[in-house]
Amino acid sequence: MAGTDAVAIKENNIVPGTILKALAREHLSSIAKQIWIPNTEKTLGTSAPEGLSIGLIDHPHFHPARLHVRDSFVALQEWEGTIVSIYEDYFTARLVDITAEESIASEEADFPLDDIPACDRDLLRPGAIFRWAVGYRRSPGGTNMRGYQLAMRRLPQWTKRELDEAKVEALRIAGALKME
Amino acid sequence: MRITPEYGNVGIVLLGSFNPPIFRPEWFAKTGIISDEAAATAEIEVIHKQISAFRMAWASLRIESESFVAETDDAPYVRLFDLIMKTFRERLEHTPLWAVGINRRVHFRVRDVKTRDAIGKRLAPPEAWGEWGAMVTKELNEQSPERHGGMLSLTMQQRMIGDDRPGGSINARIEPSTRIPGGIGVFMEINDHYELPDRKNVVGCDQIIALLERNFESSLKRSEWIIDQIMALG
Repeated sequence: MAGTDAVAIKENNIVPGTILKALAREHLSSIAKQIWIPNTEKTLGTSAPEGLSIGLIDHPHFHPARLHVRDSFVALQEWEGTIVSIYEDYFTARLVDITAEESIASEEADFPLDDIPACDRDLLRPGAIFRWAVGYRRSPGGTNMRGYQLAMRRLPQWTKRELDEAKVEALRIAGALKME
Repeated sequence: MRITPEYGNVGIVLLGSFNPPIFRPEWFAKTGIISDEAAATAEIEVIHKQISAFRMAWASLRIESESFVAETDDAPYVRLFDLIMKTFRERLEHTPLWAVGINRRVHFRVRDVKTRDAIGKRLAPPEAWGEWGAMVTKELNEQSPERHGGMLSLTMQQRMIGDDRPGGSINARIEPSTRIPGGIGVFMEINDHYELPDRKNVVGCDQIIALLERNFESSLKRSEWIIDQIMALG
């Protein structure tokens, strides 16, 4: 509907029902161009703007929530390992028994390289730290399966402050040893 | 724990000021916090200026403007701790954080319905509820599934101000398990909460990250010890 026609009708105070509806539709269409609301295309005959970000209301797109329950791996015993040496198809590591609350390595063991998840292979080097948990995987259906999980630790790098503090502590210990 | 749980979960919740849309799987991979493969296979639920949520094979993350929640169902749980430490100590050290919660959840199985009721009655005796409590007890004893009532949820709190933290509490919640069928499961959640007294004047994340570093392993051990006290009633 042309805008000028609408003005002429308004000046004469003649506003038939169909014209009123058309005016309302035109007015709502202009609002809908600024604030795009889903389904206005169907009800108001307007086009949605290209891309949601143009609108004043930025609607998030929610993916449907997953309703299924996931597996859970429960550890019966856990060790922290430090890689000592790496060979062609296995590596040797010293292990600290975390479950027994040990603080120094009391065991050494060999692990196949295949035990390290492919995504963690780049972390494989002497001195690298990992956790090894033995336990069982419980499926949502109730099945228990014995197994183990080996996870390389992605530790934060040492900060300058931590290195400085370590240096001070090392000097303190060295000083104390000289005194003795 | 004297009963091996059927299901275990650990969550770390940080309260602070966050910018959700930066927390994308690609960002975590690019900064070396997670592997490229973990990022590539992550299932994104939503990434928006007000919320970012996605799940990797071993953990899920949900970040809103005032909270950062990381959870895992898979031991070793230390991976979650590493993710938080690397994120905030190495990459986002200026993020203001004022509280951290270390949450341990388990579902464990007991011998039978009677045993589970005995735990509930011990923790919340129906007799304390007078004549109505007597009706609840009567229906419990009749063991009719349709009319089986009793304790549904109970939380015990220990205030921990000035002990090992500036402020906070330990909150232990117990409920019937919704994951173990047959009325023979118990759910427990231990929320170990640490907070700074003056959140408005927090600068950076040093204090909260230091609290997490100092307490993560011992918190999980204490939570399992608390759960063990309840398991002993079964």
